Amino acid sequence: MAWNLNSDRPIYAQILEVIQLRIIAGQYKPGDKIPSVRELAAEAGVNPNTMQKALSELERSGLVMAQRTSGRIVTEDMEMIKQTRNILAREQVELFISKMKELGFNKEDIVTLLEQAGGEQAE
Amino acid sequence: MSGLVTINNLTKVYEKKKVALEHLNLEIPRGRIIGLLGPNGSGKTTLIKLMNGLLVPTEGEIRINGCLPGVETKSIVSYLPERTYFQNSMQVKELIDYFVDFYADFRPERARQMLANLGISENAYLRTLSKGTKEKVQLIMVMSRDAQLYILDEPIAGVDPAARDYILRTIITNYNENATVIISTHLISDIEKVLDEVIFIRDGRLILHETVEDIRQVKGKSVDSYFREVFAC
Amino acid sequence: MLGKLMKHEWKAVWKVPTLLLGVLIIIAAVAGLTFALPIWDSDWIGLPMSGIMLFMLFYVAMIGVSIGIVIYLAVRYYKNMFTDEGYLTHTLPVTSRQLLISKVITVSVWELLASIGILFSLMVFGGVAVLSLASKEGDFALLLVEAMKELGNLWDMPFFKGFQVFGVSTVFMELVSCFSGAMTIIASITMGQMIRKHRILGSVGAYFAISAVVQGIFMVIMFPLMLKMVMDNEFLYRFEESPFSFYTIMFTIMSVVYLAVGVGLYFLSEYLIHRRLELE
Repeated sequence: MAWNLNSDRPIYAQILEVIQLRIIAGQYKPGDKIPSVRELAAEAGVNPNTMQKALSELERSGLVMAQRTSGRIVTEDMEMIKQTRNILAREQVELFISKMKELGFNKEDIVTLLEQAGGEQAE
Repeated sequence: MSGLVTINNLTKVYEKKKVALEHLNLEIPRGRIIGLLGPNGSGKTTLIKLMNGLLVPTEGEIRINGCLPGVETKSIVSYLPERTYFQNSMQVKELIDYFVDFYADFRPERARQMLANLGISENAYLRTLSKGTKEKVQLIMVMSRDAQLYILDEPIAGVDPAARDYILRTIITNYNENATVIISTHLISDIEKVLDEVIFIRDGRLILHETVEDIRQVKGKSVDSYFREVFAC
Repeated sequence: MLGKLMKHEWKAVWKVPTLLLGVLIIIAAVAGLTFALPIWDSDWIGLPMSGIMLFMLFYVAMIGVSIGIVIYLAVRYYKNMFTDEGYLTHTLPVTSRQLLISKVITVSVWELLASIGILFSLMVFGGVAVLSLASKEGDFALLLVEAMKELGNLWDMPFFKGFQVFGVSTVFMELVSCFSGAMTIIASITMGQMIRKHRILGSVGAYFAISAVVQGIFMVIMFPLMLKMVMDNEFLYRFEESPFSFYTIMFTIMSVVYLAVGVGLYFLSEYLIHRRLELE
């Protein structure tokens, strides 16, 4: 998951999304240590304070946990990771549906379209 | 002891009555990365030179950590000028010795590590290095200090994107956490993601001093487009 | 910090003047060696001519080296203080006083070393020449020893009365003039920076201005003094005895003037660097 950050939205929210995606996609595995604030900030080319803010937010949600010694690890609570994945999926679906509605599709049209597209991809 | 730099009614008039800064007031906190932004000729470099004691103010004063520019401030400020300031007859290792001798906060191991990463030999004479390499060596020296204030004048002007990323990474990974970094530039979109705060100046006057999150959240714009709006002709 | 400044200043500066003086001493030795060659008796004019050319080369080299060292030190000072290098020099955590003193001492010491080096090259030239002649004409050395003995006898004559004091005053003046020479260079370049648009031209102008002022001071002080000395019978009487007391007085006065000028220029330069610095 690359850091494609866009300057006109708050950066920390975008960072949050990228790290969530990395955890869901298994780039950071449950129980793994994630890189330090500074390493992540350098990698993303963002301000360490901003990175700090994003990681604190993740900590609050429970997806990562601060360790007593140093650094943070990804939660081992698989249920929570799954939940986060569902939330993100739901957001995507809602975004998709609202876009389709703008294009004038109704619910049935969308379902048909999805089935067609799904069939094509399966082949 | 909240502010790191306090600027009071600062005015600089060059010869022939050219006014570079006019009654500037500014308070710069600790622990931030701050963009000093403004079009060419807006007074950015003049302000930076005044902070480093390379110019004497016409009126007003600058205090860094409570002191006027002098020995105390120079020992806690790490400055990257626009120009390369090396004595070309020196070798890289002599340059390291030079910094070790004068700056108590200089960390030679850190400099050696970064030079090695770039494949720059310590036995190389500075005159044999290309302009781009010299600029990188200078940045490495400046960022290898555990300073309280880093002042970087146009660190990314005229470099390719790869060099720009290297420079920004070097700054982020090396500055001391409680320190403040001031980066002057007119290339805002390239660096705005690393900034906490921005200071806009034009014609030697302060136009605005805000946090970047405020600009993004309240105004809903990138700093770059906000800058264009503020400075629209 | 002054010690560290001195160390790095010395490290940056020593190579070029040492090389110049080394070359000068080699030229002196080669020129001296020509006395051992049978070229002076040659029928062909070209050979003795080339020997004379070598002496002239030595003479020109002496002047060239002394001017060259001064110019080298001046350029080094200008570059290190007022061009791009100044951005590092003036952001070191040192006071302008420490900075300036380190420069003044280094330039003064090199002025002194240059004079000693040039004197030494003359001694090398003379020494090699004598040895060369001696190798050609065996009894020459003996002749020289005789001459030295005669000189030794001269020493006791009334003519040389006061020579020791004169020697001390000469050495003192040499030391003082190294300092004031260094200060003249440093102050002219520093003053030249005040002409922001024409810094080098300003420096050259300041150099001539300072020299003219020093000449003026000498004129003003020396003229009535000389007049008094000439009028003074006692002095005339002494003068017949030995010229050295006269020179001792003159050198002492010159030393005092040089010292005063040097110190004045030092404080002027320090003020300009501390309060009026403006890097481009």
